[in-house]
Amino acid sequence: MLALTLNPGFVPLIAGLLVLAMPRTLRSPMIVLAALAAFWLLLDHEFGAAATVAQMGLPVVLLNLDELNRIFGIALLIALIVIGIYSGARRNRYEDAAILLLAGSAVSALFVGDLISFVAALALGGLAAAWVVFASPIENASRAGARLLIWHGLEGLLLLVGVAFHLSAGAQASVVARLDASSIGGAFIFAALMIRVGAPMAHVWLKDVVSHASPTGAGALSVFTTMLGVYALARLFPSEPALIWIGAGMMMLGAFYTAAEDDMRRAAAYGITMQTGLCVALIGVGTPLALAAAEGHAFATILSFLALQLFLGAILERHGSVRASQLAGVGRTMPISALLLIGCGLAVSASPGLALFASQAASLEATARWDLRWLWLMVWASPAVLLISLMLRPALAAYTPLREVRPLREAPFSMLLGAGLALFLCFAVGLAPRWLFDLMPADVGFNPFELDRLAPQLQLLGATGVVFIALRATRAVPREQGGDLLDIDAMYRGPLAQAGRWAGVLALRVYGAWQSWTRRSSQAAGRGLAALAAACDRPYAPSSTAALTFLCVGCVLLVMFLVR
Amino acid sequence: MSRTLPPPRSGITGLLLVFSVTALLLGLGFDLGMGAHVQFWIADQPAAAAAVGAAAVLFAILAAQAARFVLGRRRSVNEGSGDAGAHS
Repeated sequence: MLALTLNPGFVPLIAGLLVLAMPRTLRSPMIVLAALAAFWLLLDHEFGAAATVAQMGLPVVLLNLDELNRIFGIALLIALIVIGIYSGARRNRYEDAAILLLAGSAVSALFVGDLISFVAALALGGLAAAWVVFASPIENASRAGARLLIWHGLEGLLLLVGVAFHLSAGAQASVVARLDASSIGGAFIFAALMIRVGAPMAHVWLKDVVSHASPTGAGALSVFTTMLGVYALARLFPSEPALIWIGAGMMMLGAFYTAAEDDMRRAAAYGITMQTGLCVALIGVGTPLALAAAEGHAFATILSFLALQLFLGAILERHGSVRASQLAGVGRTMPISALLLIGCGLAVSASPGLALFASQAASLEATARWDLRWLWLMVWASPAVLLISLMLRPALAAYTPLREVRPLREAPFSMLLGAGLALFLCFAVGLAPRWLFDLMPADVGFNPFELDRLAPQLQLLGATGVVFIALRATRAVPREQGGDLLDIDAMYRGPLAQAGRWAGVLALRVYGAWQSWTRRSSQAAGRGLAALAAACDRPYAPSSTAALTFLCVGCVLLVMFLVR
Repeated sequence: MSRTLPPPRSGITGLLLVFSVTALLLGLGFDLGMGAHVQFWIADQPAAAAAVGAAAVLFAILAAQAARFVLGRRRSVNEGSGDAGAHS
C-alpha cells in the first residue's frame, strides 16, 4: 500500500504554482483535479497524527487527521471542486493561482497539528486572499485588497505574539490543543481568531472584499476565510463562555445589515457573518451536541452561501450590478440564474429539504436551555430574516418587469454548472442529512424531518412570506433604493484616515521646524566657535579683550603675591 | 387618441404568496391539529412560529428603515454605474 503522509492542502498549493504556466483550457480541470487528489489523500488516511518532524527543538506535525478537521476538509474541498467548474468561464490565471493558494492554505491549516505550522498556513492564506482581491477586475479592488492585507497582518501579528507566549511554557505546548483564553498567549490567539471569524468591530473586512472580488473570487473568499476561524475556535477554545456573547453580537449585526443592504453580494456577506456568529455561539455553548451542530452548520453554510455568491456573481457578470434597486428585468434576461437564485435564497434561509435546515434543527436542539433561551430565540428567528433579505427582496426585484425589451443574456454554461452543482449539493445534504450527521464528532441521533421540527419551520417561513408580501402590497415596506450603508470601516476610512493624514502633515511640519531650528542653532554655534578660535589665535592683538585678559592675569598674580 | 398602458406585471408576487400561504397553512395545520410544535418556552404555544415570523418581518423592515435613515449614504453621480465602484 502506498504510504503517503502528505497534507491534503499541499496539493492545491502545488497546483496553484502550476496553473500559472498553464493554458486557459487546462486551468479549470487542474483546479478540479487538485481538489479530487486532495480528497483522495484525505479519505485515504486513518485518524491520528502522521509525518511528525522536529525543527529547532519544536515538533512540527504536518498531518493530524480527526473527525473535526475531516468534516471541514470535506466541505472546503467540495467548494474547491465547485469553484473549479465555475471558473472555466473566464480567463485570469493569476486569480486561478490565488484561489488555489487560498484553498490550499486553508486546507493545510485544517490538517496541521502544531501551532507554528497553523500560523504559517493562516498567514499564507491571508496573502492569497489579498491576491484574490488584487486580481479582481472590479474598480477599487486594489484598495480593498490593501485593507485586507492590513487586517490579516494584524491577525498574523497577534497570532505570532500569542504563539510565542504560549511556547514559552515549553516545546510540547506547540501541539494544537485546547487553550486558555485568560492566559496571555491564549488571549492574543483568541483576539486573532476574532478577526478571522469577523467578530463585531472586525466584521467589515469580509463584506469589503466580497463586494470587490470577481464573481469567482467572492465565492472563494466566502468559504475559505471565516470558516477556518470557526474550525480554529472549535479546536482551540471550545466551551469558552465569551463566545456565546460574541456570536450573538455577530448574529444581530449580520441581521441588521443584511436586511438593509442594497448590494446583494454585501448582504450575502453579512448573512455569512450571521451564520458564522451562530457557529461561534454554539462553540461557546460547548456541549457535544452544540459542537457537532456548529460543525454541521459550518458545513451547510459553506455550501449554501457558496451557491448564493456564485449565482450573484453570474448575475453581476452579465447584468453588471447585483444591487436590489437595479435588478429589475433580470428575471427575463437571465431566467435560469434568476430561478436558481430563488433556490439559493431558500437554501440560506434553512427551508425544509435543504442543507441548512438539518443543521438549524441541531442548533435549536443544542441551545434549547432555559439560561440560553434568548439565544435559542435568535437561532429560531434568523431564517426568517434571511428569507426576507436574501430570497424575497432579490426575487421580487429581479422579476420586476421593464417596459423595454432586452435580449436574453444568460450566464455562461460553466458558471451555471458550478453554481447549480453547489445548489444540488444543498438539496442532497438537506434531503439525506444522515451522512452529514455521521461525519460529526458527536453522535447526533435525531431526525430533522420529525413533524415537531418540520411544522414550526414551515409555519415560520410561510408566515414571514405572507406578512412581508402583504406589507409590501400595502406599501409599508420601503422601496429598494440605491445607496451605501456606513459601517465601522467608515470610521477608519473616513475620520480616522483624515486624522492620520493630518497627523502626518503635522509631524512633517514639526520635523521641518526642528530641522530648521537645529540648522540655525548649529550655524550660530559654529560662528561663535570660529570667533573664539580666531580670538585665541591672536592673544596679543590690541583689543579690549586682550586688555581684559592682561588685567585678569595681573590681578591673579597680585593676589598670589600678597597671599604668599 | 393615445392611452397609457398599465405597467407590466411578472406574477412573481402572486406565486411567492401562494407558496408562502401553503407553507403557513401546512405548518399551522400540523401545529393546531396534531400539536406538532417545539416543546420549549414560547414555542410551546400554538402558532408561536407564525408570530415569530411576523415579528422577524417587522424587525427586518424597521432595521432597514433605521439603517438607511441613520447610516445611509447616497451614491454620488461621478462614482459610475459599475457595481462595487462606490464601495471605497
